[in-house]
Amino acid sequence: MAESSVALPPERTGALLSSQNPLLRKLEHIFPLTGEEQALLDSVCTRTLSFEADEHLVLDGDRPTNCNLVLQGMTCRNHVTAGGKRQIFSFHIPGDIVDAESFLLKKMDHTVSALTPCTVALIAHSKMTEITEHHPRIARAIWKDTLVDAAIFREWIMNVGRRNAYQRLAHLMCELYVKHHVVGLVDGWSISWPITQVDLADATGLSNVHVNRTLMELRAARLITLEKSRLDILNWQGLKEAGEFDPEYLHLKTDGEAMRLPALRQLLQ
Amino acid sequence: MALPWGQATFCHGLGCAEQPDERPSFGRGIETAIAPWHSQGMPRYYFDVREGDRFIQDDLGLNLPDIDAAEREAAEGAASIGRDLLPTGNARSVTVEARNEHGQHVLTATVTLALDRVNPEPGPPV
Repeated sequence: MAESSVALPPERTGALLSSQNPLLRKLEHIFPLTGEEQALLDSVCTRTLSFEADEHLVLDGDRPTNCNLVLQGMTCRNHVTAGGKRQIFSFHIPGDIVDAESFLLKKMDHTVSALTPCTVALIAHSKMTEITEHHPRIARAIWKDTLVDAAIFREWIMNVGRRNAYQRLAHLMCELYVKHHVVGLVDGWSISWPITQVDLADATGLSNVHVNRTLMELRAARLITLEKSRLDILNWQGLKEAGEFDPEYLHLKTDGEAMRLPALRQLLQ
Repeated sequence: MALPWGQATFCHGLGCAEQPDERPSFGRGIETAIAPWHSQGMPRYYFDVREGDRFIQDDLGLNLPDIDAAEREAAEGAASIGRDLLPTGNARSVTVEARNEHGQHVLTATVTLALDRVNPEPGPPV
């Protein structure tokens, strides 16, 4: 990849949870688990595998025997038409299980590709079966995580179907910033941004030229800067309004232990 | 047990005692469409956009294989921008002007919306 080879995500902003497992950090905000449940999930995430940028983790048609949990880097779900046109369905960062559905659906109906060098934890389907049969709360936590994924897809349909280009890009940037914040991967208002203009075009259903022009508009409005593979948000409220971004669909808990980070609570208001 | 997300305990590829066949098989013919523009050595084209009175210069450009590809990008760009702007805005046309890496103008793609109402509006037939 030309301009956007990014090795690792930026340093984490503080270690609030006892475990650094990004999946647990994320679940803390969606469906908090007990210490024992967390330790159990930790224990099935020990086998890891690395991918280069642009490699595929799983392909359309595959029947994987593991789920892939992103530990480092960024991946995307995508599919390509017969004519070679790609649609990106979602971006995934540390803490995301990119193919949890393969555990039950068995056969992949899309491809998962690495946008950067990635490290994933392999969670064997047999392990998932074992855990979820004996620990229904863990099953519900993963179920809820998958449901939030579905809510994100619905927002992306709004993006591709009804929002104008300016709103689409602004919305996507807000969403990714919040997702990074949840797993402690923000550096102030800055996040790693290995997503190229072509990736953005494929994610938002816009042409490359249109994405380029819209990014310039967002910069000119002083909402963001985008350089050296980093996105810096200059005006969070402005960007939220530009994208009509309402974080409700991410279903993040705004009470209890999960909200020890006051910044996140404020972000979601 | 050293967990993978601890400071220096990441386990990479085969050094992790993973079997080689844990990796998914590649080469199923789909991946060539992904990121085709990301190779260096291709010429770079710049796509400036003119919408009514506004002119937005492209400072970044796109690496594309040839001028045919540049023409397709310009056409798709004009259509994509036009779809957003023309029905709702004041501009009646969107023009994408492509320059090569020497700054020379090489092609133009224009999308125009023409709206015509029958005047006076026909009343119900008598």
